[in-house]
Amino acid sequence: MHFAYMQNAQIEKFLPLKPRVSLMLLTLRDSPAHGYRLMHAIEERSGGTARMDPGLVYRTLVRLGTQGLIKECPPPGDSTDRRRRYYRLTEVGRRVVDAEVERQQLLLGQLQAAPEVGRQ
Amino acid sequence: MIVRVSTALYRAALLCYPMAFRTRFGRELLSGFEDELRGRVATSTSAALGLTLLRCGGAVGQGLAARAQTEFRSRVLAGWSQELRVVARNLMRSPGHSLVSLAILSTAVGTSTLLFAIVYATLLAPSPYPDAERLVVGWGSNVSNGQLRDVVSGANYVDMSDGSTSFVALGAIKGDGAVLEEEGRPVVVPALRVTPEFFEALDVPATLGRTIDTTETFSGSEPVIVLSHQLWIERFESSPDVVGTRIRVDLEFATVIGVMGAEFGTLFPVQAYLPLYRDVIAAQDRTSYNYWMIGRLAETATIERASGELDATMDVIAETDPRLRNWSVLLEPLDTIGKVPVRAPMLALSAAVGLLALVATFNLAGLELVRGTTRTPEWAVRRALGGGRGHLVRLMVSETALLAGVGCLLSFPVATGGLRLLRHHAPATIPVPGSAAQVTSFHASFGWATLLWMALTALAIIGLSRVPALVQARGARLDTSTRTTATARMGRVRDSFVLLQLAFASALLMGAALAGSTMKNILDIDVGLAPENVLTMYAGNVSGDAATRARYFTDILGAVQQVPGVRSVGVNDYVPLQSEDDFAGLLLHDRPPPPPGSGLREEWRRVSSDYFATAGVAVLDGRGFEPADYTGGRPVAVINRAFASKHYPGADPVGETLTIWNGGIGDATIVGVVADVRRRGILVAAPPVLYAPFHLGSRGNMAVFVATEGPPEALLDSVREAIWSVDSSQPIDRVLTLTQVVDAAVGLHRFTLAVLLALAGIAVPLASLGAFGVTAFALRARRRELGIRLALGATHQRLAARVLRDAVALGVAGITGGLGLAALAGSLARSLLVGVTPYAIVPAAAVSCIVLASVIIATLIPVRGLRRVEAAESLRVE
Repeated sequence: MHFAYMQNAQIEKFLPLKPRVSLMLLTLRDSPAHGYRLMHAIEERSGGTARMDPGLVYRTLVRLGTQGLIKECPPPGDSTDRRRRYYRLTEVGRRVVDAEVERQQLLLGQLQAAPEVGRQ
Repeated sequence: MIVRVSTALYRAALLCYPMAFRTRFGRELLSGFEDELRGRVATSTSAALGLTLLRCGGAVGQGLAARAQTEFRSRVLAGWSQELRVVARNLMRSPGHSLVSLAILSTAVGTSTLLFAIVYATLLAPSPYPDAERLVVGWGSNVSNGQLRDVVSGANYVDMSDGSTSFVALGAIKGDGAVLEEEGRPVVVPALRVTPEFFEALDVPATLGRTIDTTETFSGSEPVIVLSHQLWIERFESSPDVVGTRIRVDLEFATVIGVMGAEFGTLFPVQAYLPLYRDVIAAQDRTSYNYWMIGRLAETATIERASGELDATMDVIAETDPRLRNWSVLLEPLDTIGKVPVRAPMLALSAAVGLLALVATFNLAGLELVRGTTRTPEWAVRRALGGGRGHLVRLMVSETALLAGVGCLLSFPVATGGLRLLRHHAPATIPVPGSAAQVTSFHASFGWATLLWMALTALAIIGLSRVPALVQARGARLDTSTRTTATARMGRVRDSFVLLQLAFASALLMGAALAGSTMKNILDIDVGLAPENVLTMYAGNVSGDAATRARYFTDILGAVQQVPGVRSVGVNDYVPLQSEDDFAGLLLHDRPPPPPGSGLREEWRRVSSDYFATAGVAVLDGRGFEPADYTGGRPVAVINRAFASKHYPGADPVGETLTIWNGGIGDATIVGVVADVRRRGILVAAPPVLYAPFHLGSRGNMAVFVATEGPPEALLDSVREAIWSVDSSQPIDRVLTLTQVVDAAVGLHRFTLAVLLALAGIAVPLASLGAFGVTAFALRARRRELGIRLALGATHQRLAARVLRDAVALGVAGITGGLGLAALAGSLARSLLVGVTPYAIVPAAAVSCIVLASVIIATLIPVRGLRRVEAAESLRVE
């Protein structure tokens, strides 16, 4: 029980995630990816509203790695591109992104339940 | 070609990243860029160029950001955290020194922060009213009769507001009380009666509901009330539903139509706003002066033009009504009215707090020099080991920042505790000079500006106090050959710090001494009352004719007289010393007639037969009122000494006759002369006053005076019940003992004295502590020299006398400088001094004795240690 509490507290301290970091981690939840792939994925997932400079993507990757949310991994079996470094989620990273999704869904539910502004 | 150039450019831009980042990601970024670029080149050249610019710009920005972040982490954060650890260790090593420094710092920062919070909120903060520079206050002014800031009559106000084009809005206001109900009993809250133009001029909407509009300001319209923010919170628990409810106001039901914001009441310390009925005030006699005016000038108008316009209207009125011939209108910016009365006390207190801050700074500097000298070897070792000047400066700055931070935290309780004391002891309102108007004395706000001030003061005090030690550290060498000269130089610097501390502390103490003399002179002023064991309160809000009102107060007098422990009871229109105005038009018989058209107008009060005995007003000639004067017959009057000297110089006024125009009283005979009673504050000489029996045109609300056998507070409940036994629907308010009334009149001076005494009480011991520390240290540093002197035949007594002589010389120099400073400051703030000049000998002598005695005591303690100095031993130590 105590251990579970510690674990939850460890996850909670990362929340809420910044929108672009959420999109990065969501992409990595599907499959390992390299920096440039993540850059394009953010743009695609946000419908073109969120863009990141590749340099910022890599700096964010370094930070997420330091925080223990992602880890470098060998390229997937079908990849032949040896120039790129690939990243995957760690267990903590997976739980953080799940918790963020849950948080956002809860918030969305509450927003949908609230009366519209101006409605009598 | 374009791919090659773009790649080269991007490669160059990547150089902005730190080396480690480049090594790790450089190739990957470059190859990613090349892939992207090839895709764009296939589309168009311009798309490729756009991408190149975008990515190069991104690389430069991100690279520099990454570099800054790395630098900050590796150098600044790591470096400073190490410094802070060293500093904290150093401070913990001498806990006594650190605690004393922090105590001195937090006291100085706390007091200065508190004062800033007050000065900022009272004098510097932007006005709560938009375009406040266009707001003016209008006074009725009759300079020939000594009335500079008086009120205007309702009829004249109506004519002036109708005939003026210089104002967007010109409102009339009158300070009054509103009778509300609390637990079935009537209570009076301070209120303003206003015309709708008052709100229009100030241009601040209600935070809830609305303000009074023109349809509600005619007699017969539905009664309405606007609540102040404070009343809304205290009585209506901040209920948003209060608007539209009906509450009892002045014994009838009125609808709450709005609530004003907290800021709105800054200048007007009232709880409620009630409408003035325009038709009623327009019908009042033109000499029935009751109202102040608040106006907003039109954008193109100036005060001069507006004044000219109002004066022109007054001239037209005076042509048909010669009684108004000497009256004009004085317009002043509203903003200055609230600030002028508080400026002098604020200036004095700012100077005092500034002096305390200076004493603290030099005290800390002295302490630091003493400690710095003992730390010189540490600096020398650090430098010898390669610690550059930058490193030493960083150590000093870390120490300053740490001390300042902790000092700020500790100064919070000092500032907030001080504010609580001020709220409790400072007078709530201050009179506007030459007027019966009162404005809020001070506000305080602890906002961002205050916090910034707190941080800056702490940094400035600590920073300045470190400068001498820093200079000293600059010369730190392992080589000891120059130490003696350096020590001697530092000794002189330390002496000068003590001298400055003594000077500032003496100036502060002299300020307190002058305030004390002023207070004594004020308390010596004969106010004309015997205030001991007298209870005062205002009673009634009686409507109906004069006879009904007179009957109510006659019944009250009878009922209260029956209360056991009551010696006597009387009524007067007003409690003295509270700046109330009430004038009567008079005609003195057998006197030279006044110049045509200028009627005589003097203060008048209606009183009961026992009023003079109850309030302790001495009858100087003839007699006071007797019960027979209240039963009809020819009216009689009593005048005060000022009236007698002004109108009957060198003659006996008793038996003279006059006509009182007010209340249809007509002719009356003067039967006595009584002592002058101060009316407009304690410092303003009593004006001529005529007293008449209260049943002649009695007011609906009068002040009741009850003289008691014992402490008056003990009888309050019985007296109140006795008054309510006559009519329980009538309110009783402003209950005070007459002693409290006199005390309140000296409130501002008492308060200034208390603050100056408190600050001097901190500064003088602080300066003595400085003298003690420096003497003790100097004796220790001079141990070798003293040893040599002893070896050469000097006695301990002679050495002690020499040290003492040096200290006394320092003390005398400090005191002289301080007294000079106080004289300079005193002559700038003369308005605060009463009956004493800044050059007064007695307070100066007292200050000199106190400061000199404290210096001698502070020196004698370490000098006693001289006896233990042995010639051979001290030489051996060296």
